[in-house]
Amino acid sequence: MQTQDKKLFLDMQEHPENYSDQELEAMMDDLDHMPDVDLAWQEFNSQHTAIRTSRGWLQIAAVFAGIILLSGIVLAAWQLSNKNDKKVLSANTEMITTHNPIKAQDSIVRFDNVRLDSVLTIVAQHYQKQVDCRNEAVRNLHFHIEWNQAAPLSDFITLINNFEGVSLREEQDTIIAE
Amino acid sequence: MQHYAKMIRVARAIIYDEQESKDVVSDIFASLLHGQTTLMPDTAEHYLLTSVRNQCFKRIRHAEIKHQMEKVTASELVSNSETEDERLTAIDEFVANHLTEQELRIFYYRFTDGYSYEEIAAAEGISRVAVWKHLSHALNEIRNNLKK
Repeated sequence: MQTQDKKLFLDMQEHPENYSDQELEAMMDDLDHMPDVDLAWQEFNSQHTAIRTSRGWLQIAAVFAGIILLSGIVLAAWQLSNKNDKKVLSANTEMITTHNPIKAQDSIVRFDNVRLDSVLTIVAQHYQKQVDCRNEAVRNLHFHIEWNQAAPLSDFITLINNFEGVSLREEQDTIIAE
Repeated sequence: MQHYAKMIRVARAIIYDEQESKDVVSDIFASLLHGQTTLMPDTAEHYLLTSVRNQCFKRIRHAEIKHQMEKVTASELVSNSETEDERLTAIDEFVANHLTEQELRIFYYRFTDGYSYEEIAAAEGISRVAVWKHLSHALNEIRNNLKK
């Protein structure tokens, strides 16, 4: 079926004059349908567990979530904080635009309706931890929270554990979410 | 809209196949994971979508090479693949020289900005079908060029 569809697609490109407007419209509707980003992210996430702490992985997390701009901020903030003993420069906030789901100001990062696994990716990167999300439902929870990067990880864990239905704990170099 | 969704959309507009489109995007992710590329805020989306476009054309080119090289030696195939990147680099130049101004705008709307057909139609003040025909002509030109 797929092969036939592709042949049709190629023929429609090569000879659009042979097709009605309705047929072309239907093909365009098909091509513009949105992929299931959450599902794609879960697939990618499960296939690349060994390298989650790499910067490349964080960039990809941002691509899925559409927050490249922000990941740049958080990455920059994280790098600066490592170099300057947790001092985060507010200059990074210049890049922020109003529609972004994550905002950083000084040491505070605000997550606005961001999935927990995306939140954890960024937080874990800061504390140089890995993430082990053991509950699919928890992974998909969206959070509106503020995280103080200058505070210890335990403060963040306590904050999240105040929410019902989610449990975070730190074990060695891993943040476990259940 | 998520960058991932736009990347898939651009890939599907060139090679159609959904799984192959996912593979193209995965290849780009692999280069992000293992390479030194750092996405810059201002140019990240254009970088990603241009990468998708180039990867798709590369796949089309691969298919063409495979088709043409069935009867030649492996060494000739290697020699050909070495010039592949150069050929890919020349696509933008080819496009600029062979498309009309409107086709060029539409080409970049779709394959660099990741616009939907609807968005392009609105930007150009034409119908979606007209957008399809402009893009078809552009892609046919490119496909023919990749066969050479």
